[in-house]
Amino acid sequence: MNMNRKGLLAGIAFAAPATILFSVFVAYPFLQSIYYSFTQWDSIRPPVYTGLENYKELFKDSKMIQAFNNTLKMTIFGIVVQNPLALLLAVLLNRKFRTKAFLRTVFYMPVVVSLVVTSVVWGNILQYDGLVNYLLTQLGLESAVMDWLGNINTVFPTIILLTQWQALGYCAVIYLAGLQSIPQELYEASTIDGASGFRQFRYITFPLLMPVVTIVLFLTIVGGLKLFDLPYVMTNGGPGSASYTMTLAIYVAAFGNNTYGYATAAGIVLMIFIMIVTFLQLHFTRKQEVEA
Amino acid sequence: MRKTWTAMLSCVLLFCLFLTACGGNNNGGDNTASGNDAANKPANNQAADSGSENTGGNEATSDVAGANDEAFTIRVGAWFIDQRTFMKEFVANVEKKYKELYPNATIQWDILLDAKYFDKLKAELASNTAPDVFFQQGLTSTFAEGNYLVDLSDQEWASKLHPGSVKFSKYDGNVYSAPMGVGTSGVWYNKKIFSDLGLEAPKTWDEFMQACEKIKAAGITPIALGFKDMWTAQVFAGLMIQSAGFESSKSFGKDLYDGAKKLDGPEMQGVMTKFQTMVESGYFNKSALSLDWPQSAEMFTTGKAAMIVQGPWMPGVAEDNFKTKGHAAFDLGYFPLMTDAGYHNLAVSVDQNLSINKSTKLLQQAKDLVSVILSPEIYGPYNVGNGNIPAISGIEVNYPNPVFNEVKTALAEGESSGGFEGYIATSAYTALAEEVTKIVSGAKFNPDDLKEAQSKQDKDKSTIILPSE
Repeated sequence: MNMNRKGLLAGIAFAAPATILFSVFVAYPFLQSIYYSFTQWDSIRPPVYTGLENYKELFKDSKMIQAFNNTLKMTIFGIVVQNPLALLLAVLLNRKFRTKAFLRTVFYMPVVVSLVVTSVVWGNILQYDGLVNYLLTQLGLESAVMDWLGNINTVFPTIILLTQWQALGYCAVIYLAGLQSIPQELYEASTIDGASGFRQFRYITFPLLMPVVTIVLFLTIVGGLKLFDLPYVMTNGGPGSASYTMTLAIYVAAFGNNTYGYATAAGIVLMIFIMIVTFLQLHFTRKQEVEA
Repeated sequence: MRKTWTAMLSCVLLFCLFLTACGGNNNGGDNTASGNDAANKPANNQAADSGSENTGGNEATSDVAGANDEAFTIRVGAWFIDQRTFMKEFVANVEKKYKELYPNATIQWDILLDAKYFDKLKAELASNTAPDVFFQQGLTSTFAEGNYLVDLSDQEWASKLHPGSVKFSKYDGNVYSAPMGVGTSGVWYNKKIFSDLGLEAPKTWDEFMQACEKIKAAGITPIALGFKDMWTAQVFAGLMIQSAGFESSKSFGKDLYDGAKKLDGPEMQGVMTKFQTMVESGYFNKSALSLDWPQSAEMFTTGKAAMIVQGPWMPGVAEDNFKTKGHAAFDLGYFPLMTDAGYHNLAVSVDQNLSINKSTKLLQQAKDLVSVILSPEIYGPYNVGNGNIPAISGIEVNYPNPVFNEVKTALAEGESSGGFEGYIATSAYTALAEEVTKIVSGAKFNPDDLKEAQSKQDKDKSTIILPSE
């Protein structure tokens, strides 16, 4: 047996466990799900091939459209509001002041708490007879009292805010790590050159932080697109379908309505959408990255 | 070099062994023990199990059944066994009586107090990890068609089922589940509040609305809703649709299936409009969508609300709340939800069906467990607590709560049919309930919104397994 052949066999042997695992638990189910997406299947009886019916229905189903819109809103809000806020917070927490360590802990604390626990606690706080409405009444704002999670106009904005509240600390910590990795000499040199404050941020901090921005943006987008637990526990998508997200709508279609084929089709469309979005995001943000 | 190759080969073989152990065996629903089953059983019993191959008959496991002193764990799945007094007694009595039969047996209660139990159960059945014995609701035909249930036609109790309950237990002429009693839902009201306000149980929709108005004027919430649990919206809307639908056609359910009646038709529109009227009139609690059903039940039993629309278990829940939560006790009254003309049609249904998993390795033990649960001394008190009428001949019960006489009267005075929901796709039923929650949230009802329910019905019609006639 020559060395090349030996090397090949050793390579196959080393790659085999991961390949088998990937094939069994990822590739095969994925290929199977592509087939199921073209069927009507209730998980009890054998699937019936229906061609493109599920895909056509997806674009007519008002619940799915609403779920898609909500998911998009969540993601855009994360990019436009949460990211700059997290960066601002990180810049503030990177300064020297007394309660810095304490505040860092405070802002990171929501990340440590399980999302399900967060959902239950906030669910109680936001109930009609909950703490938020009690405080509003005490402040003389009776007109603002409402069932925050039981009103189709307020339910999803409330869920968006809660999600941002939880994710803010996480993003800020990543930005903070990025800020601390920027060499101090660059700031010192720029100070000698007469730059300070915003100019330093614009020309040193931000460009050198771009790799971190790429990661945080990626995490924010993925987090927004896959949001499930919070609306699932707090509202189950209601009232009506006002707080459905794509993942929740897929879950309800599969496990609630027993339309597994339809749910799989929705899952595949979501996957394609996520692929496009992440590709575009990585493409554009990587262009901006510079080396320190 | 040889050592390296031997080590690598051993790793690959070990890995393959691991994968083999992970794999399931799904031979069209034949009897392979689930991973959980194997894990849950004591080692000394696994040997006994491993030799048996169940084919749906009793004889295959007779060797296991004969060894009554052997230790084993049998799993029971349920979604409703909670901390209510009669439920705790039910569990204790089942365990005690089963111990008499199998002294070393352990019953493992797999309980998930939520409608998600059914999602879990379906996934467990599909992955061959479902409990040996499980409760289900309205899924006998579906599961039997999927070959997930043991045919129980040969059991003694199977020949004693009341004619009215047989259809909930049969599929293709065979009995696949035991009905845990038949019952009906309706409006349960606080008799003290009603008498204080000079009200009587309404007979027509107008009288119902007038009663709500008077209660509201007295500063009490007329109807407690706990629509965070979507099924409660289905119960409420279902009662209204049942009466409105069967008033328009005596074969309303079948008509919906055949397309002669539509889910966006005048019956449904009428029901949704009535919901909107009740919302606009302030007859529901403002926390309707953020309370779950136990919270809404507490609202009713504390006297903060005068009525609640619930299933037959409500009097038992109220009794329990009076005893354990210190709420001031009051007498409950009952009336059905009626149409403008006072017509009512009640869907008499079985809330819990007891079935045996076809994949169980403990077939005889499972059949014995079902027999224990259906024995008069356990089944009887369970039905009393749950507000149901026993579905097995020869088991008579006395209800200490006189409200059940009002239920019997309502059943006798009105009509009863199979629930319309048995004829519509689950996705369509979900769409209807979502429309109700949307209206309760304050959104104005738009008749076009119901088109989605009909569209789901058209698309998913083939998923419907019609109830036995």
